[in-house]
Amino acid sequence: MSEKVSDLGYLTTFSNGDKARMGKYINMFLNHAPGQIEDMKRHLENENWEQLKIVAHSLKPQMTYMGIQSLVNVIRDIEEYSGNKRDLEKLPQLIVQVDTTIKKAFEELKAFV
Amino acid sequence: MSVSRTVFLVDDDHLHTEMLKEHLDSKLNVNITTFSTGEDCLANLDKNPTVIILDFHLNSEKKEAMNGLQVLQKIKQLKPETEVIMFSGQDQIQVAIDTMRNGAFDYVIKGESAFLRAENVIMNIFKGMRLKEDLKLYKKASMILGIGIVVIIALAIILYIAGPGQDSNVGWM
Repeated sequence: MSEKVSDLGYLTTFSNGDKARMGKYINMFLNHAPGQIEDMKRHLENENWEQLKIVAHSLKPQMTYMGIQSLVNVIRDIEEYSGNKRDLEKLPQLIVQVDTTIKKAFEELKAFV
Repeated sequence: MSVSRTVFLVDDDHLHTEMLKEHLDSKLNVNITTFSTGEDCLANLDKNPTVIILDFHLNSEKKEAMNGLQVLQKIKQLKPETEVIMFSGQDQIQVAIDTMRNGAFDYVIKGESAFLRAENVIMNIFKGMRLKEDLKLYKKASMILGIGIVVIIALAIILYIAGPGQDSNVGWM
């Protein structure tokens, strides 16, 4: 069995273990984040660095709330590289990493709700 | 009994807004209204919010939306007494300096401790406001007391001066 990529520890503490509240937050994330990942891919394809930075910036705190710690630094790098227009050649690989990991996280979170 | 104050949350990150709203609702006696753009917040300033929590980046949904710094400047121009707490995932010192220079009360970085920090900053703002209100009341009470003492002394002097003459008049009658 592969290792989990999400951890609901933070959300559990924040919600005092209230499963209904946790479910509400997770559903909000599941409804919104897939669109943001698609936006990231589109902005990368169109080399729209400013918009890519904005989407990465918006996704960053959500990784913390959903306990997807392995992506916190990756998304921070995407934000920094696209914002400063440097190391742009690294962006495709980083976005693939986000896409792969977050899809796994979606499955784990769906199982909770 | 404490007075319920109005707090505006302005952020286009819906998950973060909902979490922050529920956290503040459970901890403080406040009326919370949320907006996803700075323009909507500015259109509702007539509701006299005590505190506005404003995200620095407000254009993830609407590209042309004003950014947090522009909204902050407008708020301070229209309602200088409203305290603004700037929120962002941006851990850059320059952004923090810019917001503080433009009149923000504090700057909070989004993350695990952000909700607790926002709560503490709001409580500090309310504490400061209560102190100011108490000081105003104290000044008013001191002034009334001072006037009262002056009136009593003045009356005592008048009675003292006028007293013996009246007594002698009464005596002659």
